[in-house]
Amino acid sequence: MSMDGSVEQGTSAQEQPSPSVAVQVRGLVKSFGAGDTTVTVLKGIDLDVHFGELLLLVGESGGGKTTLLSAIAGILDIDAGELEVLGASLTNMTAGTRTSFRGQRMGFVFQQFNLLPALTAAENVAIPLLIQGLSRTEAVSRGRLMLERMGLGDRTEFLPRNLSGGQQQRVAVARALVNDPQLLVCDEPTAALDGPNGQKIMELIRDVGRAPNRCVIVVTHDSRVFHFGDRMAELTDGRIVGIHPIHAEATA
Amino acid sequence: MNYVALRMLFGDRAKYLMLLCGLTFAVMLIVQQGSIFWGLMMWSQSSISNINVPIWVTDPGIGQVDEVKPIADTAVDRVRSVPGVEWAVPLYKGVLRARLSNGDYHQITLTGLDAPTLIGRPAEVLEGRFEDILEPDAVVLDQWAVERMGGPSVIGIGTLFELNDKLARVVAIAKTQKSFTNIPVVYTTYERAIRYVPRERRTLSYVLAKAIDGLPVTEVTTRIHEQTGLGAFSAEEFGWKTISWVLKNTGIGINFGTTIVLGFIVGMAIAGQTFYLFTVENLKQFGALKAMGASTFTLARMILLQAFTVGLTGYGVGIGLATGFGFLSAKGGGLPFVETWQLLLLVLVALLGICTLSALISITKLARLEPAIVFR
Ligand SMILES: Nc1ncnc2c1ncn2[C@@H]1O[C@H](COP(=O)(O)OP(=O)(O)OP(=O)(O)O)[C@@H](O)[C@H]1O
Ligand SMILES: [Mg+2]
Repeated sequence: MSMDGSVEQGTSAQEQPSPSVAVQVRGLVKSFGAGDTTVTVLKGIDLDVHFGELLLLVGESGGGKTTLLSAIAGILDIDAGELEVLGASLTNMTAGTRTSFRGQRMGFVFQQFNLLPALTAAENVAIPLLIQGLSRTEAVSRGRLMLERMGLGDRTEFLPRNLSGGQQQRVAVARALVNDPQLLVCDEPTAALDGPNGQKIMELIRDVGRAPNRCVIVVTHDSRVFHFGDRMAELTDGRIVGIHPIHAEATA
Repeated sequence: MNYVALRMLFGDRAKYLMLLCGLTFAVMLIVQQGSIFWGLMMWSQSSISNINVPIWVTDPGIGQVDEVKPIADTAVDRVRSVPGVEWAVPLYKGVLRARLSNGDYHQITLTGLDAPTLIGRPAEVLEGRFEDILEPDAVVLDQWAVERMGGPSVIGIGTLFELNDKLARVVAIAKTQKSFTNIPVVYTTYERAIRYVPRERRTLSYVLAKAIDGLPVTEVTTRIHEQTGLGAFSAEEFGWKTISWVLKNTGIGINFGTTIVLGFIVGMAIAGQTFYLFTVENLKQFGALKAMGASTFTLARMILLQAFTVGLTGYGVGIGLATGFGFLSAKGGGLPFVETWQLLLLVLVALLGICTLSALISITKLARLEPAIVFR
C-alpha cells in the first residue's frame, strides 16, 4: 500500500483510501461447513469504517453480523477478499502475529461479558495489560482507574458474581478500553441487559469508547440504542444492503 | 499471567477440590498398593533378613530360601577352605510339627544355629536371654510363634512342648520380621535341631559365611561356587532370587501386579481425565484470553502451571494419606507395608507425566480453538 506521507505530497489522493479509514473490507467471503452442507454466510462484503466514528452493524438474526465482526477482529479466518485493519493486512498475517496484533490494538466487548469469575473487577480489567507483560500491581492499578471512569470506583474488588449484569458489562467495557485500543469491537453489548442498563453501556461506549484515534464497531439489533451510532450498516443475507448516517434526533 | 492461571485454578473451590481429590486418590491408591506389595515381597525373604549374614551357600539348584534343598554335611569345611572366606557356619532349617501340652498341633519352622557362635540369631530379644538356648532342651520362639500358637497365656518363657516327641523348653522370645507364610519360628542349636528331626541322608540346609573385610562379596561367592560347585549368593542376591521365585511361582505376582497396574492406570486416568475436564470447562475463558491477545504459548504455560500445581499438591496429600495408613496398619509389623523412595519417585514421575500429558491434550485443543467462540 502506498499510504505514506509521500503520496499526499504529490498527487491528489481521491483514489486512495482516506487516511482516516481504520477498517477496509473488500469482497469478503466466508463459508462454513464442507461439501453439500456448505453455507456461505458472507457473500462479498465491502465496507469502510473510519477513525473517530461509531458504526452500528445491524441486520436480521443469522445474517452474518457476528461472523463479519469476528473476521474484522482477526479471530476468524476468511475464505476470500481483503481485510485491511489499522493499516495492516490481516489476511497476510500469521495466526501468532494476529494474536499479538489483537492484544495491542483491539478491544472486545462480548454479549456474555466473558469475565473471569475468579478474578476481581479490577483484575479482570487488567487482563489485557497482563497479557502485554505489565506487572500485576501496575496493571491492576490501571484497571482500577479505568473502572473509576466507568463509574465503578467502589466495586473494583468485587468478584463478577457479586456484580449486576449492567455492572459486569461496564467492567467488560473497561477491560476493552484499558490498553487504549484503536479498534473497539462489541457484539450485542446490550442484549443481555435491560433497557436502562443497555442505554448506560452504550453511553459509555460512545462517550468513553469513541475517540478521534479510535474506530468503534457495535453489532446490535436493539433499536433503542440506534441513536448512539454515527452510521449504520445493514447486513442482510450475507451482503451489506445499505449504509447511512444516523441523525441523533431520529430515534423513537 | 501466572497469577491469573492460579486464580482460575483456586477460584472455583468446588472444582479445585474435586480435581485435587481425584489426584490425591490416585496417588494414595498407587502408593498404598505398591507399599503393601513391596511389604509382602520383603516378608517373602524374611528368613534371609532375619538371619542377617552376608553370604548364603546353598544347593546349586535352589529356588528360594523357604524351599530347603539339603546339602552334604561336608560343605561347611569345603566353604571354610575357600580363600577369602572369614568364617562359615552351618544352618538347619526345616518344617516340623510342635505339640503343645493342651494337645494342639502347630507347624513350625525349626532353625538350628551354630552353637559356638550363634550366628544367624535375631538381633533383638523381647523376653529372656538368647544365650540360654545353649541349656539342655532349650528353644527360643519369635513373637509371631507366640501369637500363632495361642498367645502369651498359652505359651511363654518356661513353657514345655514337644517337637517330634522330644521335649522343648522356651527360654526366650525374639523379635523378627514377620514372614509371608507366617509359620512360627523355633530357634535351637544346629546339633539339637538334627536330633529333633527324623534322620535323613543329608541334614545341612545352608552354610552361612562372611567374606574377609575388604574383599568384594561377589568375588568370594564366585570363588565358593567355582571351588565347591554349590550355590553361593550374597544376602541381597538370595533375597532377589527368592522374590522373583515367589513372583513366578505364586499367584501374588499376577494378582498383586494386576491390582497395582490397574490401580495405576485407573488412578492416572482419573487424574488425567479430571484435569482435562477442568480445562474443557474453562475453554470459554481461555478463548476470551486468546481473543484478547494471549498467545498459545502463554495459554500453554498457564495450563502447565495449573497442572503441576494441582499435581504436586495431590501428590503431597496422597503420599501423606498413604503413609498415614501404612503407619497405622503396619504398626508392630503386623501388616506388610514398605514404602520405598523408588516407589515415591516412580509415582511422582508418572503423575507429572500424566499431568503433562493431559495438559498437552488440553493445549492442543486450545491451540485449535477458534477464539470466535467467545462471540457465541
Ligand atoms: N462456526 C460456525 N459453523 C457453522 N456455521 C456457522 C458458524 N458460525 C456461524 N455460522 C452460521 O452463520 C450464519 C450467521 O451467523 P452469525 O452468528 O454471524 O449471525 P448473526 O447475524 O450474528 O446472528 P444473531 O443476530 O442471531 O447473533 C448462521 O446461519 C450460523 O448458523
Ligand atoms: Mg451474532
